[in-house]
Amino acid sequence: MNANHFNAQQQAVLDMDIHSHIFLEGPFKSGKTSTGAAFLRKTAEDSSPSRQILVLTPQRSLSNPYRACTRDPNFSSGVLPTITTFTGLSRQFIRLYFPQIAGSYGFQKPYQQPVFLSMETAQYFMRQICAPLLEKRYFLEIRIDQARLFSQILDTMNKAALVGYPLQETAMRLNEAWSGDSIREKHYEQAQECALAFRNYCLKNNLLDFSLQVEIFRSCMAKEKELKNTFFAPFQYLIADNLEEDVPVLHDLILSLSANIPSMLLIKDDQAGFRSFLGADPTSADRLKSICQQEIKFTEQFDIPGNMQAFNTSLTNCILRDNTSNLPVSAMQAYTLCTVQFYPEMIADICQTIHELILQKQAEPGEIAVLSPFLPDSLKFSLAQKLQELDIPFLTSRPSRTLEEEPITRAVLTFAKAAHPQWELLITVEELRHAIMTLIPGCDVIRAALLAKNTLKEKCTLDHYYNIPEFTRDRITNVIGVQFDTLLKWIEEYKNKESVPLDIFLSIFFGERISQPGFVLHKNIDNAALLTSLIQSVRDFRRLFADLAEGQQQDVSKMYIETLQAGLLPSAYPLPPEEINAVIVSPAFTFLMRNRSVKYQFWLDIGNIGWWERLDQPLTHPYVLSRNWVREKHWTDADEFQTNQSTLARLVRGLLNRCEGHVYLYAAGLNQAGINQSSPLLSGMQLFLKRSYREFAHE
Amino acid sequence: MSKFIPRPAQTEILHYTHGKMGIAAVPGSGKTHTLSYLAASLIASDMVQDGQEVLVVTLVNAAVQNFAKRISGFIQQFHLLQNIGYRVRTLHGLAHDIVRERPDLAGLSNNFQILDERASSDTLDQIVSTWQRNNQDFLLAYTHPDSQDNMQFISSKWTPLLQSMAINFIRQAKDMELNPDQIQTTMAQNDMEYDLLRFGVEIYRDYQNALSYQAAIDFQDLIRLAYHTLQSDQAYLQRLQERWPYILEDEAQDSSALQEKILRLLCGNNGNWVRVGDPNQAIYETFTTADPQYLLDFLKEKDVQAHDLPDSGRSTPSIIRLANHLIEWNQTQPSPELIDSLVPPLIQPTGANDPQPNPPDEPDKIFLYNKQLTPEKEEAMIVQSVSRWLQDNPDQTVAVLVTRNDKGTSIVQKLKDRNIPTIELLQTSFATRKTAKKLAALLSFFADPVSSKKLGSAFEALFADQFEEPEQKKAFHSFCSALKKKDKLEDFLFKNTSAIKEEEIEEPAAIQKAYQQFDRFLKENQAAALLPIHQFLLTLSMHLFTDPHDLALTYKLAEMMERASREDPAFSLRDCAAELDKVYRNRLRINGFSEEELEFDPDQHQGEVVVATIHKAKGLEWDRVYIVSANNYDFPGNQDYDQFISERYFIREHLNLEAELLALLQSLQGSKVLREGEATRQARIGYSAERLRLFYVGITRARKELVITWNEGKFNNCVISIPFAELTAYWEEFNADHA
Repeated sequence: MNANHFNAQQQAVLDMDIHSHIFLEGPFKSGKTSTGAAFLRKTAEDSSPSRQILVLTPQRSLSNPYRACTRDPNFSSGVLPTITTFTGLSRQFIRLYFPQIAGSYGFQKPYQQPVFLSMETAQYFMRQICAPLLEKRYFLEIRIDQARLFSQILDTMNKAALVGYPLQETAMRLNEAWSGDSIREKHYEQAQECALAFRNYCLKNNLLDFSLQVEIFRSCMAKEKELKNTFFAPFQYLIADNLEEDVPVLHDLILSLSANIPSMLLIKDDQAGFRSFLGADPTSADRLKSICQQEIKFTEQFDIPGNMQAFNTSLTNCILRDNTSNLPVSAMQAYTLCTVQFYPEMIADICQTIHELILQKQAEPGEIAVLSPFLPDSLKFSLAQKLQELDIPFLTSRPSRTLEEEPITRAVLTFAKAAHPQWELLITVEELRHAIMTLIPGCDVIRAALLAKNTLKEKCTLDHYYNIPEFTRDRITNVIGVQFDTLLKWIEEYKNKESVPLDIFLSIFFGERISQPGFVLHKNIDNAALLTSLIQSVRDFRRLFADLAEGQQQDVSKMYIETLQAGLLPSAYPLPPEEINAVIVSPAFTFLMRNRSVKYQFWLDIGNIGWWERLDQPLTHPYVLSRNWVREKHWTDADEFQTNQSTLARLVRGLLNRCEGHVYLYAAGLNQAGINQSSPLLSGMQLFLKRSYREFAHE
Repeated sequence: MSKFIPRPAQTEILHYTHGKMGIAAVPGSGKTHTLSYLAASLIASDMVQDGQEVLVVTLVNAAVQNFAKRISGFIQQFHLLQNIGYRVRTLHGLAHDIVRERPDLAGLSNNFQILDERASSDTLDQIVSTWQRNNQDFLLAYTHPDSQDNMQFISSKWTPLLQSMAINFIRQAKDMELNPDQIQTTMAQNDMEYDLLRFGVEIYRDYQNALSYQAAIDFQDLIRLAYHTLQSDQAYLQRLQERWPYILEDEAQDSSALQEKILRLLCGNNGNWVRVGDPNQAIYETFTTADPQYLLDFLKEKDVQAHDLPDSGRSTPSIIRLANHLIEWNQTQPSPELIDSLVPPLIQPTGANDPQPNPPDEPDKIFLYNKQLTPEKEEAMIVQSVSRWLQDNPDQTVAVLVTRNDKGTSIVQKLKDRNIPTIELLQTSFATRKTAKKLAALLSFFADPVSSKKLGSAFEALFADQFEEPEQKKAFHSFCSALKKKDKLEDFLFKNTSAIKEEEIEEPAAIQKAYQQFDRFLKENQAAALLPIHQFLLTLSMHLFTDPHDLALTYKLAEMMERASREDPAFSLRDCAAELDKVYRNRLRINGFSEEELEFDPDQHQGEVVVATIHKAKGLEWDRVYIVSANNYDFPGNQDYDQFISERYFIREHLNLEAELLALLQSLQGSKVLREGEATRQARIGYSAERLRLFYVGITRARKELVITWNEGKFNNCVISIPFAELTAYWEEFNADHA
């Protein structure tokens, strides 16, 4: 919406006394953030070096509107608001006061700089610490891959810190709520043992994972009044947006700052709270109303057509079996329900419809999202294949997937191994064949096999295409062979120079070679985004070890590859900028967390139970470990059912709130396993159809 | 689907609205049809609300699709949407649904793995082999003195026996809800020092540890855990009770202890439960806790409305007469212990104006051949007879029923040698193996894409079905042979197809078209070879198959391959292809989802012969039925001179060790400890009783014609079975009387 035109509700907020506490809530697209940004402009005019502005959002990408606002030429010159997240704030505080506080928290080297761990680097250390325990057959009965095992232990630690109870209490809390087999209790104890061992290791080596960082910050806020006051003294204005997606410990902090910060605008989306599995707590955010003089509720939604709002209300009512509201006829115009028998039909139909939307309705690819509960490889492959055939740009986002599983990762690492023979990491013919197929577009499986077979020499040495006997060269063809030699030539030139860390190698390889015409990343923005994530991940890893022990970058690169092959879940790296005009293909929750709307949505296989089912986390529990959980109560079937129902309703509401045009719902008769499935989403849709038939059959 | 006009006994059942009802039905009385119609009418009558379902529980996978199809057909007749308002499951399927929805209550994660029969038996075989190596004294103690001189050879005979003992012990222990620790403790408390029990409990413990290590469960665990889940969470149970307000159970005569318990919980005190079964068709009782007594007891409960379905329109009056004579004779048969094994009610032929009348009587179409034959001669005679009959009756259906798979396989081979169209209902079906063959051939090519031989084999596997006419077949095979000899595959693949057409293919247009389709398929899916193997399989399957059975089978195979990759990170495409090839060659057993395995309809196979075990033939019917091997080995009569499959010659005193072991296990729950040999004797009774019922089931599969033969066995030591001898005598007498 135009930043200079506000509706009456927004204007009323902007007309309020800037030196007061305002609690603003409303649904998505009701103009809350625009009001927040305008409020920022207003405070900037009022601020001074001694009266600074703090803007908090749950994740960096959500602060983009505020950053954009500060870049506006009309923004008060010289004012530099601190725009950050809870993580950034706590990290800044600890870094600043570490020598003063480290001793009292058990760090053994208080006068050395602390090293902050990312999700990935924390997994690396967790793996080292758990290895001997896994040897002792810990977690024997859990069927879960190691990367997820470690990330769940870390997740449990994070929850303890974010909610604010001791780490030693996690197993007890989980056990209290557990009513099933006693073997699970043993696993909770084992997970806690791993967590405590990891914590001791961190304290001994000045490492701070997210949980320790939060725990220290929270404790300092309670005990180190002087430091807290000094740290927050400059801030006289606070704007906190998307509070429903933030953690209770941040809400505590804001509550405690209310006396010191005279100007606060606290913003909450009353229909969201999608990050609850990461510790977000919308109920906790409501506590902040108590410190506000003004409570404002926005109701009008911009850009969301009335028929979509009507469909949203009706469908969520059907899911929740709520009979309260009538079904408006306009709801019928918001969606198209497509029933197909098989997945391939569904995929072909979706891609064709997207193609038509782009051609006939002039839709931009970036205005379209294809959403499903999960995005397995086979589904992604088939969608990608069809979209590519129709020349439609797309971007996928699968944050819970290990980087090693991506073909592009394996391909670039194969060439990285060839460029660094000193690592002595073997390349197999199959690996090389896959790498060639991935990096050289148009290279078929036969030619890739011939090339791989004839160019892979000892261990990891590659030979040139032109050294292959002529007969075989003819078979491979010059077009492919020359491309391969171009890659190899670049590798050889690199080998003649001093080698660089892996992330830098990958960046140069990307920039100088594989993003050039004739190679895979020239046009494939999806793979380019994946490679960017990989580079970011390697960089984090390298920086960590550079902080710990300098001069070992080479080994760190090798170590990274080995760690990756053992399974490493990536940190949730931000997606490429929204300016990229591509169809988004992603799991539904991932899409919601980006908090952006599109014009057209496609929902895949609405009969899939994944739309309803909670994420499988045998070693942790987002609700039992939340602050709202009543201790010693059992987590019952009714809790599970109600939670899944309300999560589905929230998901549906969230998605339709982010759909400005039309939603296409696909029900596949048979899933990939050839089975008829039914899900509460499909049942909800059936009930919607029944109700609409009852009400409008005569029309 | 034609409109269902019920006969009076069926109508009475269709008046059901609530409460408990038990129905004793005879073969061919239309119980599946009646139960399906009842399900549909309950749904149509508004007694099933939004979100609720009628739960239909049946015994085998084959019946699930059959039920679902019939209910769906009736629902359409009520002008309602299909596939909504009911759920048809086997006990395993139901247990899976219960556990799958709340795996946490069973201590499992969302994506828990169930080892199928093959995988669990592989695991068990390894454990048994190790145990056998380390316990030679045990073997010696039970080996017959005459065989002890040749222990090396006898050891190989022991292996399958120990495996079978282990499987049955574990299955029964799980049915009895006993874990290894509980067994061990009870043994210690009661000073029970039996080597047999020690064997059972040691194997059971190692097996459970192995399952834990793989983080998997087996089918038996699935049922046990479903029961445990329902017991442990009252709220979940209540939710399921609300979801399934009606339970309709078919084949209730084969209900096991745990099935009974699970359904009782789901039904609750005042729930609605209809159980239908025929105690005379209970044929799954040996070494299980299944027992027709559960149904008989249910029929006597005071709040149960008991009904009979005595009329059957399936067979001619002569065939019904034979089946009924078997029941009547059994009341006075020479072995008094078997008298309760086959009991009235007798089958009533339908009345004159019945909507589903019996076929006209043709007594001369019953052939009870009581002359002694060698097994080979018997098979040759059957093949000859089938061949002749099919020529005369190309629009009729026929089945050869056997008691054992090996006998069936041998007959199938002989039929195929005579080019008689044959369908197997034996172990892994041909359709399942064919799907595995297609996938194996494709993966094999992708593992070695420069091999023209593999490319040719892949094309052959994928498209052979399209060229079945002799001339086309010949041209197709010669094209494939030529393809297998190509030097430079890249000239023949991934090129402009019109170029290929001109240069390379001088074949009939249909082959050219198939090849272009194949080329396009490979081109579109080659990049999927970069995905993890199981995802590659799923991708191929998505683009290759549209048949739900094939999709389901590939999904199952993909899960197997995912497990293999997890256990061995070096597991390659080549290994995967080799595993699939084993399935194709029947070296690996896998339960598939083909028509033969899921919803076989004999009437779709007129002019072909079906070879099936009698177990698999249950619920089916043919115009003509052959029952072979009606001797005292396959159908013993509990006589001293009978041969029993479970009494091995190399075991001392010819003990039935499986029975002895299970009797000891049962004694842990309070049964009397039997003296050695007593369990063997009791097992003879149980086995003879079940075989008598199996014979009855076989006879009642026939609509119009019946042929029964017997053979003297592999060692020429078998005689005609008593029930068959009795039927032959009866039939001769009957014919003489009516001549």
